[in-house]
Amino acid sequence: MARDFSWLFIAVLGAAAFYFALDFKFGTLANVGSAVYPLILSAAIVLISLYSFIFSPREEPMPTNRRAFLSVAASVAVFILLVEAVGLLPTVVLSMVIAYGGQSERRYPFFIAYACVFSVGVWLIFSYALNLPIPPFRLP
Amino acid sequence: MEDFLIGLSTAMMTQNLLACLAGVFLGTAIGVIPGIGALAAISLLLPVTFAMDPTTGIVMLAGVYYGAEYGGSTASILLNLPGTPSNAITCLDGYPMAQKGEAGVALFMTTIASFVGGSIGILVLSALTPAIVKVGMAFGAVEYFAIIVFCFVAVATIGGSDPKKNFVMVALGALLGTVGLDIYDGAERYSFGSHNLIDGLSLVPVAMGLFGLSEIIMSIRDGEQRHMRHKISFKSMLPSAQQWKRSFWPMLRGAASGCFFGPLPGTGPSVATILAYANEKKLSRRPEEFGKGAIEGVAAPESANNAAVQTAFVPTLSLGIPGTPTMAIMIGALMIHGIVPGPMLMSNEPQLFWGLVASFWIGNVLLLVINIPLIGLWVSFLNVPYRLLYPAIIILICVGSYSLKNSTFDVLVMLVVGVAAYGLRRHGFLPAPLLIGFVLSPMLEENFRRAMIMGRGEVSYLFDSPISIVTWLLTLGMVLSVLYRHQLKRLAARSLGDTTKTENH
Repeated sequence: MARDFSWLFIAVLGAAAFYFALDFKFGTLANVGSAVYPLILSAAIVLISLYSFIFSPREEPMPTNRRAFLSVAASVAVFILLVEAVGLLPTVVLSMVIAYGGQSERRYPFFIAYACVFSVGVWLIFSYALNLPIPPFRLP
Repeated sequence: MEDFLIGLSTAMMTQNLLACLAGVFLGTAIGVIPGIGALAAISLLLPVTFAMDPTTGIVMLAGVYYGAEYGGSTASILLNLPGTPSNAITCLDGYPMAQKGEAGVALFMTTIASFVGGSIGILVLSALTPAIVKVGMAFGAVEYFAIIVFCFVAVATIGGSDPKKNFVMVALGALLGTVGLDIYDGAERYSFGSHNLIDGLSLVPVAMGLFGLSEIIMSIRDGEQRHMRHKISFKSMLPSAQQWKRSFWPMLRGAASGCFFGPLPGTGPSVATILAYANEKKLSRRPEEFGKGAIEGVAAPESANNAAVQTAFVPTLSLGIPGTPTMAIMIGALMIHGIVPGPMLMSNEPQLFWGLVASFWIGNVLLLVINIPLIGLWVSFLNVPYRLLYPAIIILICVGSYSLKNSTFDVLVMLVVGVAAYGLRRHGFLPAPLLIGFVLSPMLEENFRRAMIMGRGEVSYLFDSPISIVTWLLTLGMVLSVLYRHQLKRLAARSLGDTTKTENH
């Protein structure tokens, strides 16, 4: 029987959580410590995952849209790296252009113009209406 | 009645009326976009409410919720693409109606059915919540512990998909809910020395990652083109006398289904709409018309959907226990605004509770008033290509997460959760149980530990009250029914295998 390795991945996560929880306080039955609840949860995750890994048949995962996945993840990563370094407007435009790369259309001049207009709108809403202290530009 | 009038005066305040209008409008606009559901819409707009008064903020988010649920039906009817999961069933007859040239009638009936279902749901909410609050006053740690475990099991077993996968997702969510400083013994759990994790993970980035980012990655399609052919005039929207007659009882029966399933944990609007549709098909004198454009197939599920949306607030407001992921977000929103939902909410914050109930009704009237003239606008929304929408949505998610604490750490949490959720969804793991586990986890642990202190370490104390015993029996019943179904499936598969072998011989 083909195995579903996603179960094994979750079992490893559960085992890691169990291992780290061993360092928390156990307490007593009358004064349960901070270790008990995460230990119960992580043990349940490990047991169910291992059972399913061994006994459940493998189900075909949905196909990956690798380009969409990479462009969306990269777009957010760029936002994290740049927003405080260069300000909101250039970050929004760059993140949107990277995200746009997740599909096949390539009308970049039009999209960059659209992203510029959108970035100004986002800055106006979040800075003025919602008082978010985030500068439009910041020199590195 | 006096309480309701207080609520009505709160709901009629200018800022609350505007918030309700904005919520309904934005919710419908976002709900119309296929693949972006109420949960993503609420997560996206939650940061916008931080600057508002708590009542105004919650009124707006509630408007977003039922606006998105309503808006989802537009894409179901016109494109055969459900905007929200609970609108999926509307595709079955709504889209064939549109193909027959009756798109306007289907959209109009959706609006009316949503209004009828929502109004009946609000009546049930107003009557049921005070009654449950009275019972809830008697709840202690033992009862809360039993009820939250019941919720976990219900979410894992009823919500479709593989119960084992759902159980694991609930437990993973609960584990994420333990991150941070323990209030009892001061231990830092899973914070790995990072000061960003000492307060635990925030709800908004987790919800946005689970439902926003992962959904966007899954929805990007190459060469996607949508061209709406439908021109909808007011005249073309009016149903005939026969269509009104055929829709009347289905709407009421749909509302009853919504009112029953709305408050139950793990079911919510999706289950209510499916059962309302199945029930109508069974009762109909023309079952063969279902799936080919029967108006009952639109009226009943849409009424059930909105009734369930309203009654889902019953356990949320009366006990502080969410039955659906959307309600989990609403609880998070209440807590962010410094309001603790539960039995004391009605007595401590009557203007908020009854203001919310009154605003629900006003919001349903607004849905009716703005959506009939704006159907053309929603149709034109569907013409905006997704390739232009999704980069903008990613930015709103990022800025929304960032705005929580003006920190990129929350955006990083959103990214990690979103990427993990995408991977898990590809393998059939649903994100909704994880979110419910995450939100309920602190409450479950706290009540467990309090119960053990009160019982002086006696485990039997957890089964010491009639309410907890009944709840544990219901939980056990659910687990046994899953095991029984699993066993039946195995036996059926084995007997099928035996039959195939005999035939081959």
